[in-house]
Amino acid sequence: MTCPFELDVVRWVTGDTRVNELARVEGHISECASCRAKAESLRRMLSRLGEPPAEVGVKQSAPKVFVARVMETIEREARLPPKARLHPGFLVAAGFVLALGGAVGWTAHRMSEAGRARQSIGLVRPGPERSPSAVLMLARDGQVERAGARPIRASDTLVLRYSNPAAEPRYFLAFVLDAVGNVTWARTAVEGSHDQAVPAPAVVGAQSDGEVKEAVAALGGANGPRRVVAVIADRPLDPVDVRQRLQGYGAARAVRELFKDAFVAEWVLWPEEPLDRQDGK
Amino acid sequence: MERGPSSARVIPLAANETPAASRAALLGDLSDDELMQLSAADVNDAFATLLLRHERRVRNYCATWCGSVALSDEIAQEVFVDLWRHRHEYQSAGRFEAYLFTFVRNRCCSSHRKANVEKKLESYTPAPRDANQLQQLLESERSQRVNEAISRLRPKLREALLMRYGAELDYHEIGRIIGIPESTVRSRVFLAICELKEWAKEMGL
Repeated sequence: MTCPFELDVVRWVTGDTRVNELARVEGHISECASCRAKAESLRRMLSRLGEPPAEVGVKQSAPKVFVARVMETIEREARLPPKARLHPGFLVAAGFVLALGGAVGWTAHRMSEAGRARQSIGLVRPGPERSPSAVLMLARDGQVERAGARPIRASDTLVLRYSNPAAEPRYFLAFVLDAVGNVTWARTAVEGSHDQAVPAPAVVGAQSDGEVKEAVAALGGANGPRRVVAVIADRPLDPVDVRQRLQGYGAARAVRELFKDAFVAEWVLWPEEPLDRQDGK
Repeated sequence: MERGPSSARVIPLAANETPAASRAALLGDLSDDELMQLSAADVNDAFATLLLRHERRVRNYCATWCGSVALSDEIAQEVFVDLWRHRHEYQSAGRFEAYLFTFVRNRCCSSHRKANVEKKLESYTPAPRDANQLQQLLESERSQRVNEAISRLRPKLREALLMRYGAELDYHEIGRIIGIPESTVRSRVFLAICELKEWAKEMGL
């Protein structure tokens, strides 16, 4: 004969007993040895679900071995030319789009966008002729080098250098996103037709002028990575607009959406330790 | 407000001059979201850190789902390669686990479909030689019986049960991954346990 509390025992084990029934169910379990045993057996069984099944002669590979194997696969795939990485379904879809006509222009556009995306990751590579470019430089002890090659210090200055070899004027905007996607610093610059140096957002220094205040604000967001973004576009870029449209989670991703027709370069910067500790708290 | 002398640094994305140990420690302190952001910028060791953090749960889930440790490593590997391929699509919102387990679910479901059309290979079980091996075999048998009971569950129930108790995800997250209301997840888990309980009784577990 089954105990009328059988289902209550299941709910009790899974933590789904209603508050107003808890005393009644627990009272029963403390008195009924059979239900106590069932609860214990259920608990044991559920706790086993997080473990891999035991198989004689078969063991899970060590975590590091597994990770190394996955990373090897990923790195091998990353070395393949982009075409070889395309999913067959994508190729069919791409073929369909091509058949519709006018796709050549679309493809060219996508390719140029992909080129820009690659360029924007980490180190900026020289772009094609007459396209704009941006480089984040690090100034230390009177020497200037490309940022990203080594850790920076508080006394360092970051300089964002951009160029626009095209005849038509372009507009420049730099801003910083903190770890949770808030814009902590934004700055426009006069349109540039030649190399120009602009004090970069992540400047951290001992100076006490207005520049440094803005820079402090740049690092004052949530702990974690800072993303420095440089945008060069054909239209004027409004920092207020950027602040409003890029707040919050997903902002880093939204950057490309917002500036899809512009040249975008990005760098990721890290505070050496949590910012509250940096403030001497 | 005065700032200390060394308050910020760049983690190089390509050139790697940061000592490996301090870089690993630094990456280890980052949240899943931050590591995904870095992975999207092709920082491979950030992805490796993420992998190391979650591999156990994913592999154990896959192993319990398909009932084979050997096969689970293969599925888990595909899951992480999927994650890497879709790293640019991830939107940081503290929902990394839900994102990861969506790939886990897809891979497990497709392996389940494959298993339906392919005949499962019989695994070779060596005869026990000593007490230790005998103990191991008994443990293995017990485990296999639990797994058999789990494999007899309907896939929908099994999935909810394993996500709740295998992957330790909360009902809300499971609902997001599967795309069903939280209350449905609760009732699936409840039904799964009730069925499992009956079979466990039959099997003398």
